[in-house]
Amino acid sequence: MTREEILNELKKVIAPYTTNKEMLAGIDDNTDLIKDLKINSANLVDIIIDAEAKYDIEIDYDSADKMVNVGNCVDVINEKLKEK
Amino acid sequence: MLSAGNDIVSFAEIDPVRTNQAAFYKKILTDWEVLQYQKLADTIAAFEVYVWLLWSVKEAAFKFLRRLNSQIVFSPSKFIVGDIKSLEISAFKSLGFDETKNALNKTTWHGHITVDKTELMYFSVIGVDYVHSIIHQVHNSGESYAGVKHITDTSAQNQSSEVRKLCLDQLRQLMPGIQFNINKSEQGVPFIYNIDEKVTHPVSFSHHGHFVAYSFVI
Repeated sequence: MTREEILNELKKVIAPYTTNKEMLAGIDDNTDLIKDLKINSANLVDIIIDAEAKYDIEIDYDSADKMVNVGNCVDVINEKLKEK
Repeated sequence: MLSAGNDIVSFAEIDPVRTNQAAFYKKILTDWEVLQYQKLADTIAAFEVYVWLLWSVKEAAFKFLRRLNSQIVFSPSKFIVGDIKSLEISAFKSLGFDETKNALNKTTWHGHITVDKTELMYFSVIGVDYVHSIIHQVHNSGESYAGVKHITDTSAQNQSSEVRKLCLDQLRQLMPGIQFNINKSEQGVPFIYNIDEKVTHPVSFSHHGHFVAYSFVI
């Protein structure tokens, strides 16, 4: 998958957890999940679990720690897909 | 270490079925913390409540430490809750836990959390609808105060304004006649400013669904 394809799918994973739907449509690598998308930190684990299920990957602790903005999320998913 | 950290989790916003799945709770708890639940199963009946109690403690510790080190990463598996003990609710009243004025259906807990080599003390209240945790350092020069409020409008803007109003109301009760406002540092960390005495105090805000909460040290 290209980064763009991962990003488009990632929007669907994030959608249930953000109240900022307008910003979701225009997210880029620098978009912060908590500050910009107003995602409650308690939902970050949900996003990781949903991403694991969607891409059939396993996201370890160290990788999960990096997933604070959209660019980092795409990088981690891309890396795990290549490891499959 | 003068800082503040708190976190609230609304039970209405969590998924109890998902929380009980190992794939989920193992992202939050260490294996040792999972085993500790067996000792508490009689007093914290639901495992999902235990999971979110520990999450709130870890998140509160993260907020406390982020004020002191902006580079710290929130990694739940590296924030280790060392002990979880029941505590008389009267101890919380002396701490300034505003929410314990009504003790009905609430249990209170305290213990230690370790992050790298730093050990912090936490206090938590489990209510019917939420769990709220604060970090309180006994060596701090000040006293900790905390409060929780149920709100109707859950928009981010309203959560922000309600929690600040709640905090300022308690400050006015504690120090009548003193003018305070609440600002954020360049790093986005909130603080209380005592306008009359020109001093600042650390404050932490949290919100989840219909609940907002704060803790501060003064």
